Amino acid sequence: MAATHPIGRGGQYEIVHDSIHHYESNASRSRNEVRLQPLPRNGVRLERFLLEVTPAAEMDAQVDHFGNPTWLVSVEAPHSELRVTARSQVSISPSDGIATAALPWDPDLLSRNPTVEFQLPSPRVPELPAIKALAREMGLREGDWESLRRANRDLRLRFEYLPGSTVVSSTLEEILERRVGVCQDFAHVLIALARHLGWPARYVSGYLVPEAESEGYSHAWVEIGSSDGSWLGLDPTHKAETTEWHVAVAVGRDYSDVSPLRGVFVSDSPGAPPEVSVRIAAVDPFELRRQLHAAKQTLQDQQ
Amino acid sequence: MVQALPDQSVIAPLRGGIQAPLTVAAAAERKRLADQTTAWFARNEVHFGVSVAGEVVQRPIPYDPLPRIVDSIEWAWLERALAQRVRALDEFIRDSYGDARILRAGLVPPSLVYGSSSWFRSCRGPAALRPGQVCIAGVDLVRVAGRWLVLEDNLRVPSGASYALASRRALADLAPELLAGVHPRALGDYPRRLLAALEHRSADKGLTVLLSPGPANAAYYEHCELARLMGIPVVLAGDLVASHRGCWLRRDGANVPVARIYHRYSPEFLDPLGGRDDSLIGIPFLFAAWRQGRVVLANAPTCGVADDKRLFPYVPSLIRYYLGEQPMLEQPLTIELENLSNRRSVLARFDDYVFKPVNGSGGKGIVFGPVASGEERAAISAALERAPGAMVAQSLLEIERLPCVASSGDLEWRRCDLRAFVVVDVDPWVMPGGLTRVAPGTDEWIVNSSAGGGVKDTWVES
Repeated sequence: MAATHPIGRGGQYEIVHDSIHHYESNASRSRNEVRLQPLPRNGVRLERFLLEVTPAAEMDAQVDHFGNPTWLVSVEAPHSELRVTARSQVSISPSDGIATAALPWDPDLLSRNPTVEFQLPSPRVPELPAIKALAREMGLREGDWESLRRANRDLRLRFEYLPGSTVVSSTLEEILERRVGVCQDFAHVLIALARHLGWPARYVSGYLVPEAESEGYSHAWVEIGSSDGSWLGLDPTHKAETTEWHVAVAVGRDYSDVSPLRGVFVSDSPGAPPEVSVRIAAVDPFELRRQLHAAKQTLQDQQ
Repeated sequence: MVQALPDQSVIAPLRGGIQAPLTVAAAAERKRLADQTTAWFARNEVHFGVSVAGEVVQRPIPYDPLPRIVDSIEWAWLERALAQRVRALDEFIRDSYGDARILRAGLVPPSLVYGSSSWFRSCRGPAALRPGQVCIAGVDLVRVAGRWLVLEDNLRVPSGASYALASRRALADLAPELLAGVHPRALGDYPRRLLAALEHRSADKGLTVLLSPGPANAAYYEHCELARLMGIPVVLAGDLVASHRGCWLRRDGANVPVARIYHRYSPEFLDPLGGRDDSLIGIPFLFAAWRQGRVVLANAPTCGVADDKRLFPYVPSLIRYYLGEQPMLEQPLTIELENLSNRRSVLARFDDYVFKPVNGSGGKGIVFGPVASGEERAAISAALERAPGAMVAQSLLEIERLPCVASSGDLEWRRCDLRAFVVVDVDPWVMPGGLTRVAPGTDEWIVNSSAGGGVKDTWVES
């Protein structure tokens, strides 16, 4: 729950996303789609990306329908554990963060624009009467950017942030009923509200680079489609607009389009939930250069 | 509900003075042939699975020995009309996975693409843009007052070609003299055409296989029969393995490359990572291999977007838009029911419509207004309240009835449609005949084999 960063403190960061999937009995082979490669965006450059998989796997990077780099990972050997580690090096150069507004859509024009895909109901964000009620309760107006910003700011007055209160598969209906959740749930609620108010809205999964050296974590937020073709980020968990410190990894209609790892394995027993850890650390560019130099030196020494 | 029988002019001599066989023969003679053909279908195990108490029971498909005869001029017109329709549908499929020009033109609502459960985001890629997404189409036609209309386009797994072939073989075996009198165009070219269409899609050295969901599938007879006629193996999901590099058949501990798959799957079940993740009969990464052109899937898994029943009303616009031609085949008025005023006016004139689930097949869930029970009516109204987009209403047509042999050997008149098969190689080719499907009784409306319907041979005059 880091606050937003002071402007002007850019730099390079290393993000290590490590996940271990255990199978109770040996899987004779597995097929996995991995979405863990950061997207280059305004203010965020991807310097390096490395995906490590154990046991040894065949890999291929493709770009999915939403433009997300997607790694296809095939393991042929029997294995009881699959470990996927994504190492990303990103450089972030903050701008002075001029707040802009998303421009509303003419419903008829939106209905003929492919962007309408993000205004239609989606697997995890169906149309629900409870959303209509929530929009009324919050006094939100259709096609009004200020209303949407206010919804983003005020969502947590109505929904309690409670880690562990929900699971990845919790439905929107349950969230609206129980009024608790985590970032994934708040993102789904805000997407539902935005769509109800006539906006295309998409789900973004990624990382929030912490202010100080700390654990770092996966995060989820929302982007609203403006009729000028741009997308504006809203982070209901932090009651703020997004910044360059929000490093996006994948976008989609909702969580179902962006899961970091979707896999199928051939085994007699089901798998357990994965162990996931995320580490984010600042990299001093000189330190990096020194390391590279040292690595080269070692290589030369070996030859 | 009692319908006046069509007058005898329907079985008047055909052009050129040919008399439809057996319509003027003695009842006993017809009964004898009917018994013989029924025995032939049982002996040759020409089976179709019917669901009995939740279990699929394989039984011989009911067969009526009186052929439908179609005039050669009428057929030549149908061939052009079907080719036109299939070409436009193929253009639409590719466009929907490409630039979506037709959506930008405002001619098709984007919800029919982006909101369709049959449009797979996982299919976006080079393979979805190639001509020939449709390899085989089964178009259901009916004749109403002498004009042909389309009721449905089947592009996912159209079944029936093997039953048309069996229908012809039964008559050739048991009553060759009837065929000799009319000389209908031969059907036997179908398997060769289908195989050629598959090979046209990839010149790779790998195997061509037929992928079947297995013996519990209603059309398992057809899977085995078509594979036999094409000389290719029938394989099940467990025999295949895929990665982004391609697809292989696991045989005797080795992996043999597969280049072409004629699959008999509803496409969402083909790949649990590309379609439904609860599919237990899928092959993980089959879509990934297909997307990059490493293996051919026929039909392509993209095709479902074009035979969704909600798209049906827009097909004439597709023909005008993509081909710049006037649609040749007419189609009955089809009304989407998401709109409240449509729903009200349709429910107010319930008897004029047939209600169809948008993603159904095999006649499942279809309700005919005039013969619906009170319960069925209430169920339709309730279902539409819950999910108004899940059904469409189609104007009910008094479709052509053809003479059939009753158990006594007398003639009786039953409703029939015609499933025409179009195989797309470089150009669409129409099987000269197709499968005439027969309602199970004189008062029945539905002709689907899964609903107990039978089949008869279709003779196209040469």
